[in-house]
Amino acid sequence: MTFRSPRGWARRRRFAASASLALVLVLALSLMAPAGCGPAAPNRPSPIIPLAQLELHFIDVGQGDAILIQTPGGRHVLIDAGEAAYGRAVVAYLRKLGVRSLEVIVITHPHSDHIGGVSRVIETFPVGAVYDPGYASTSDAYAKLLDLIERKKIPYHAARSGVAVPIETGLSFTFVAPDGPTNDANNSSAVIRLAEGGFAALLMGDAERPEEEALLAASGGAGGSGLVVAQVLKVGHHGSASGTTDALLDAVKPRYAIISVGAKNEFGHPDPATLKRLQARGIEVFRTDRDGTIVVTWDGAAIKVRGEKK
Amino acid sequence: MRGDQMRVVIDRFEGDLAVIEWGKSMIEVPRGELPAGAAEGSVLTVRFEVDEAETTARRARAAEAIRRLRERN
Repeated sequence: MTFRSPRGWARRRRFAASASLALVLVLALSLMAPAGCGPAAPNRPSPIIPLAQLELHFIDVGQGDAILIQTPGGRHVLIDAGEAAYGRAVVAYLRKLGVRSLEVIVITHPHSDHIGGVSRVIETFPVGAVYDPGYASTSDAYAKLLDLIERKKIPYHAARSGVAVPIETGLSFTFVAPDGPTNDANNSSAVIRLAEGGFAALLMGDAERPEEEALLAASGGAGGSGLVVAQVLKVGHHGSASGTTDALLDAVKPRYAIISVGAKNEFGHPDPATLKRLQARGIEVFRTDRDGTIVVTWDGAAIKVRGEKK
Repeated sequence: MRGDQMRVVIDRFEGDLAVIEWGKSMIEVPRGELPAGAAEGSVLTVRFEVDEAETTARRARAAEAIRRLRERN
């Protein structure tokens, strides 16, 4: 395991942001993250409900992906931000949640429906570090995003299998694929396993069969190391026919599948055969095109999944 | 962009459609419309031609529709 450190930065930011009501309340109450506690804020009302749960927000960005993770300690990580046209919507959603800064942004891979909105997010919020698999895209959007990361002097790291991102004590945020960029952007997607206590989520980016096979080979498949086992699966590539194989589902054994997909998209996502494979296993499917933004919560004992329209 | 030549980039393929970055917009083009050798990441030059016959035909269709609607009154 390689350890990168956005943490030092995060601590400095946290003191600087001590005027932030939400952040201070969260930190003051958090048992998970005593190291980050700033000075107690005077004259602040006590919150009614302390925020001590893990939340995954699969933000409805039409045809694309944008996932916000809110840790029990009140820290935030963003994975992708949809097409450029959704940048504003992602920023608005983050603001609504009280986000003041992001510990980490992950670019799963450089396709427009994943990185388009990221520049606007970086222009809006301080960001501790960016992780990117490093597939060298020729698009203007990618070139401009890298320029922005450089200009803002944001630490930039490779999203590679085995890299564990230190976010918060008790929370494991680990890349389980790829080993390095391949000759195909989708199959160079950063695949993340997020775990806390008895909870795990596997976030596939746009990985398709080739990357799934590589991941399963590395993890030992269904009877393997448990590297990929998760109750929540963010289905790869918007539920296309090219992935979410039986072998993957047998190894992950999810209870919930999240598909981030646009209504009436022209690409035929999600594919009926993919949905059938999920349904045949009794996996409960949530889709952003039908359910809107989907929020998964883990309070240390139970998992709840709800769609804003469901 | 180099020189005056307009260039676009193939962001990705989704089935039979190529998703192309055209400035700040994304457009979808059937794979079959692209030149041989075009792949994900390929930079393409763009050249426009005036289609005189199609222009004339559309103008005539619009004029005909206007005439029909006016006659209805």
